[in-house]
Amino acid sequence: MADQPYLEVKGVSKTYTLKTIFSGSKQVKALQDISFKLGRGEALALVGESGSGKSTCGRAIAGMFDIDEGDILVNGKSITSARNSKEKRENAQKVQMVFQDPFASLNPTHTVRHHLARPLTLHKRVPEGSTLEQELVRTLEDVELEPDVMLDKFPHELSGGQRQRINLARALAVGAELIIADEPTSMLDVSIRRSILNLMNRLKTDRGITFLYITHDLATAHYLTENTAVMYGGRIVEYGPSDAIVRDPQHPYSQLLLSSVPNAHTRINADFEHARDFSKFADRVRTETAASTAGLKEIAAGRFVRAA
Amino acid sequence: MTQSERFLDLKGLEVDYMTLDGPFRAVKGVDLHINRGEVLGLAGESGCGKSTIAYALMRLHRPPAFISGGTITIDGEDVLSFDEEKLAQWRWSKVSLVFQSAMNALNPVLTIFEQFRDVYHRHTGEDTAAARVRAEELMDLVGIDPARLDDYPHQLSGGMRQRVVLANALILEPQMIIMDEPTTALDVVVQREILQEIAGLQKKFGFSILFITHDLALMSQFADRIAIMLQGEIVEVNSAHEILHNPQHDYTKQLWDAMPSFDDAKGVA
Ligand SMILES: Nc1ncnc2c1ncn2[C@@H]1O[C@H](COP(=O)(O)OP(=O)(O)O)[C@@H](O)[C@H]1O
Ligand SMILES: Nc1ncnc2c1ncn2[C@@H]1O[C@H](COP(=O)(O)OP(=O)(O)O)[C@@H](O)[C@H]1O
Ligand SMILES: [Mg+2]
Ligand SMILES: [Mg+2]
Repeated sequence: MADQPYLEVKGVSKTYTLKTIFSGSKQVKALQDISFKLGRGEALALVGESGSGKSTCGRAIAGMFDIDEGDILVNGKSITSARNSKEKRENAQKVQMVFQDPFASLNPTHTVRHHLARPLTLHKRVPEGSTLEQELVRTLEDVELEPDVMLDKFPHELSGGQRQRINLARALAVGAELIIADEPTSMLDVSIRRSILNLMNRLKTDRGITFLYITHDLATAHYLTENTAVMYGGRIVEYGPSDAIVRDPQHPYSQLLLSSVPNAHTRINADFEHARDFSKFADRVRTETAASTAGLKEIAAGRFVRAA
Repeated sequence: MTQSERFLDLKGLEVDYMTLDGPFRAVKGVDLHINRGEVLGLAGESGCGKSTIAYALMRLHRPPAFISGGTITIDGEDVLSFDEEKLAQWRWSKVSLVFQSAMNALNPVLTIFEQFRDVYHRHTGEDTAAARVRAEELMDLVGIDPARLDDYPHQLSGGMRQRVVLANALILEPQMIIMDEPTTALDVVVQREILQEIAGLQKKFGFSILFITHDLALMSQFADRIAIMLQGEIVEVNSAHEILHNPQHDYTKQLWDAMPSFDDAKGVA
């Protein structure tokens, strides 16, 4: 099927039950009826503040836990119905995650060579006629790192941006088709973020990698992604083409997110009362967004907004 | 400009770290001043030496770090000549520091009030009741319900913890606050809230701020002047307006060019 999406998330819900010391247990609706599609070689941004459910959504797609309701299809096949371990392994191979902290996911006692050679061998990713060494070089070149310099370095000898490139390289070495990048640039200097976004963009266009890009920064979403889903409280409040959402956000929460992005050309109003007013406004938007149970409405082709 | 308008004056500051390969000079002869009531931004990439300067100003360096040259004058006093006793009394009351990831460094086993009371008591000798009054006043000031004083840090959101850290820095009404990446770990909306809060407090009380960040856009929204740092040196200092509209040093231009912005077409190289 030509227009079968690479990833399809259908009505996914997930509730965590937290045991609290004082009041027994508390339910956290981390995901509520999440649906979207993502075509092969395309990218979707999941944008929202911390606690909105972005990572839970990413981890659900990576098959890291069982969802309560709904279904997730990768390449047309449900990951929840992957019964035997071979199918599960194949899913796990195709869908890779890259995390926020570029250090935490690398083993400090192993070189770059080890981090990449292991998945290449383990997943039999060295084709006939090639050698492990050639594949190592190729993988590093894919993430724009100099193989000669890099292969024998340890993680602590690398900058944050280089570590994140190694994490992307490792996902490629495993054979990722879909990379879930969970705030991959938020711990990096602003001045390095763009180069990592550009790299992901090249992996997408040149290598056909599909991306789910998780961020709290609406401004960077349009670098990489065709579509953006703005999340709050476990739900999608707005969905549509990234350009349109950045140019003209419709939901009050999307508007708040966008207006909060630092803009060098706007001096901030230092009036003391204004500071308080901004916080009150932000809180009101959050409260009202959380309270609304309205469904998503299509306001233009491909653009959906939840009534505030 | 008269000398007395300068609250802080740094001349030729040099800081070394002793490493296995010998001394590493992290700050290489930095000159910098901050006027009374001024917000000075210090911007540069990770590792350029911003935190090292912040620690030097507070005299917080311990071996393997050494201040090996220069002078630090704050409110007319030679900070490098202070003994430990003078320093202990001087920190917080004259200059306080909100250090990087301070919100994660709150003591997890003490309530917000207990941590607050300890600092207040140590510096003023006042009792718990007086500390409570001051703590409630400050919670109000930073926009947190004073009832939350009896919470433990983990019961507060990241933004609230950062407000608590701000309140702590204000306890003794210092004349300058050094803020080392105070919003870096926060979501954009919370970051904006905290920035507004800092700007509001600064305008209300008029203290000076040394505001450290790697985010030049954020800095331009708020600082009066900006110093650009590269590998231990200040390469350009100018008004925020000039740094934005008329950057002189190549590195400043590079920093601007590297920033993600709304205006760019998708995936520009
Ligand atoms: N393993 C877990 N156990 C309990 N609650 C969780 C767990 N993971 C996430 N949550 C809760 O689910 C909500 C969504 O979290 P998360 O997906 O991490 O959000 P985000 O990535 O947008 O910050 C939050 O309220 C969070 O506290
Ligand atoms: N304890 C230390 N020992 C050795 N080198 C250090 C130490 N702390 C910092 N450095 C080095 O000093 C330089 C400046 O660091 P820092 O002041 O933390 O930079 P910034 O705050 O701008 O990121 C870096 O090259 C860093 O590696
Ligand atoms: Mg997350
Ligand atoms: Mg620092």
